[in-house]
Amino acid sequence: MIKLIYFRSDLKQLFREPMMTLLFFIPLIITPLFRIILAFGVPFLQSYVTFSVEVYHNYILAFVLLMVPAMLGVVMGFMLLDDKDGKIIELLSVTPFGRQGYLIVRLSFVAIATLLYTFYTYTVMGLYTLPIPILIYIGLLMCTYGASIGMIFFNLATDKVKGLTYAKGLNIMLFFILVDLLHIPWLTILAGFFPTYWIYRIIENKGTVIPIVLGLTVHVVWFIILLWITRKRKINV
Amino acid sequence: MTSTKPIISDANGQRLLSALKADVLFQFKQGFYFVYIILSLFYLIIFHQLDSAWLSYVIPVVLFMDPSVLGLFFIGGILLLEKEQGILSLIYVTPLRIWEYILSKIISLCLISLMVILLISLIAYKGAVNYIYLIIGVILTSIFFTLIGFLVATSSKSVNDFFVKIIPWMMVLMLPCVLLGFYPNLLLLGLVPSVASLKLVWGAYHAINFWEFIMLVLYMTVLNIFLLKYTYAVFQKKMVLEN
Amino acid sequence: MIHIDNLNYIYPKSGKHAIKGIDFNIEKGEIFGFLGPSGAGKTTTQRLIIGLLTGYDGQIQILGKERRLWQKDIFEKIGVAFDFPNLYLKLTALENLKLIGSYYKNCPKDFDSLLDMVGLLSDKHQRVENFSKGMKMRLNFVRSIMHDPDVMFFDEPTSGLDPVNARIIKEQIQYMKSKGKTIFLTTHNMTVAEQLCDHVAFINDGVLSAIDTPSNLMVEHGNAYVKLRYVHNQQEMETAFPLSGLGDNNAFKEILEQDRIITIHSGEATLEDVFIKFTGRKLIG
Repeated sequence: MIKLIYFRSDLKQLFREPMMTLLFFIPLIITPLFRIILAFGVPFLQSYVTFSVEVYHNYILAFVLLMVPAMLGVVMGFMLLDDKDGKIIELLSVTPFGRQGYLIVRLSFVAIATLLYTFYTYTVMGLYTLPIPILIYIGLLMCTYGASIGMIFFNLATDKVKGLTYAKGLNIMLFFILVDLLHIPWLTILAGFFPTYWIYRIIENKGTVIPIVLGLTVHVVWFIILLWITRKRKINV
Repeated sequence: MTSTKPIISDANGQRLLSALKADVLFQFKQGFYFVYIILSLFYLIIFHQLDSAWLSYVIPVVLFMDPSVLGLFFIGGILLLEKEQGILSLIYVTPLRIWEYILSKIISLCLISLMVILLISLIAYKGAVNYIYLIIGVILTSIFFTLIGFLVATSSKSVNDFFVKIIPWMMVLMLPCVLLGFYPNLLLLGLVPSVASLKLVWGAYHAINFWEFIMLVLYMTVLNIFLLKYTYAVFQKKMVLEN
Repeated sequence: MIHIDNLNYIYPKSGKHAIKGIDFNIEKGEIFGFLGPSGAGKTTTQRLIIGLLTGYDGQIQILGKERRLWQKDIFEKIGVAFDFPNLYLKLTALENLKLIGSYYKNCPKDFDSLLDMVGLLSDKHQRVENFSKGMKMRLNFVRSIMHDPDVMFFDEPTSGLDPVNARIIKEQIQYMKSKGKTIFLTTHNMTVAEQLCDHVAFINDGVLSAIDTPSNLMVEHGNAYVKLRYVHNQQEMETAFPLSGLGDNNAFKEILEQDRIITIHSGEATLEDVFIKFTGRKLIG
């Protein structure tokens, strides 16, 4: 059973750490910033190049949307690291709530924030129209993606320097959005194993069955494998 | 502390070398090398798709923004982690001098920058590059940004605190670089150290004027020396205060 | 309350045989001290009973049921405080208790009196990250007992605490006993064990070497003595005599009658002597 106090406490912890607050609100600021850059930068760019930037709107949208779970996943990862310092996981393993309950709270925290930000980002960017069910679908997929990022972070990083390094490494996954532009068959196949690629494909294909099904599969497989690893991990005390 | 100047005698050199080894090993364990190898691979794949005309713009900007300034962020994490783990107080109970500590950090981070940049540039860029200019430019850039990160880290309480404090610095240093894109001929911008650094890296790919190069190198060298001395003073004062 | 029968445990990764067939009983309402040097198996045993380690051989009966048959709900009935405080650093003392309390069905209502018990009432709105070690340990203590468990586990409850803080914790443990709670305590602080425990068990290299009341152990295994300093033939001397049969000890009587006594001190057997005897090790820490 999930109680309101869990989320209230999570928010309190978040807002008492300036860095977390900042990271948490960056998507709020960065989306309008992208909008402004596009509004001013595109005419500027258009005077140099002949191709239409509009062709790339789907890539831009996918990129901005995916930055949200990537960022929030790191926020969650850092919160988990702070909890490691307070030996919270050890504490939870001797309460009826358990490590599982703790993980569920943390994961749903990221998921809810991701979902809200998805709608916000889509509305503010306003450069590419998606059917609402598809948007919701993408939002849900990205919830699992954000949670997956958080779990990767949690399992790999023992301290914040490592966390920082891996956060940088994890951002490489955003690159898979662009893979279709490169026309390298093996790279496209490789990208197919990563959730980020499918978010782009679903945006691009707007409701074709194959990306929707494969996208779901990849997201769920990632999520389940990571959940399994995270749960299996012994607590080091 | 007896020595206030970095006199590198045999024993001192030995200490610096072992400190450096320890730092490189630490960074390796933290996954710096692994992440940067993967990152380089992806840069290479993307750069491979672009033609030379584009690359001469994209490569220097990307290499400046990522590997050259990596020290700005990482030094803070490293320093504060070592503080938390009590490694920092080792300076007081071992013969390791503050100088050697700072230098070792700077050199180790500079090494990663250099390696990544040379790797990417050698493989991906087919046009003419002045590698001597590039190496000098990257070294000066890396030292500058690592020192700024070092200074901010000295006044931070925790890793989280550092990340908040570094953001305004990053903006102050990076915004003039964006301005350079709009006003490439505004010489005054060159006085901003980050712009001078960007010009050095950029210059290696765009056959910079020799005298401009010399001026920029001199400027950055003098600046780095002052910054190093200042960092040393601040760091030493801080260490004395805390112990 | 707790019955351990032929308990064996081998760490799966290292293959270390950490617990080698130990047996003991803990009755309701007693304070049971589990003593031994570092690495002897104290913490392992405690973790097995709590359920943090699984895959043991033998029996662990707790609250009338084999440990491996218990589900998560056992934690409604037991309270655990490790030797290191487990708290949300960014939250205040009160917020910590409220949040952690909400994990239990039996969530306490009166947080103020809980905090008052360990003298933290005036600091209830302070964040734990600003607490001293002693304050954290005290908060961690109330945290572990706030759901009113029947059995309590304390791992080195006074380690690293100054005498004032240590006393607060010790008094609280005694208060818990007076309320009929069963308490399992691991420590290598013999004074704490002597002051608090009804029974103590010594463990060394995974084997139990003795279980009894502290006073019985001290009588049986300790050596009480009398130490004399006196002047004999204009020379200062020092000699110790065993306390038992002192009245019939002729050498002792001779000194008393013939020499000038400077000081007489009696030395009681301590649990520390017993500890050293059983473990063959000096106490460290």
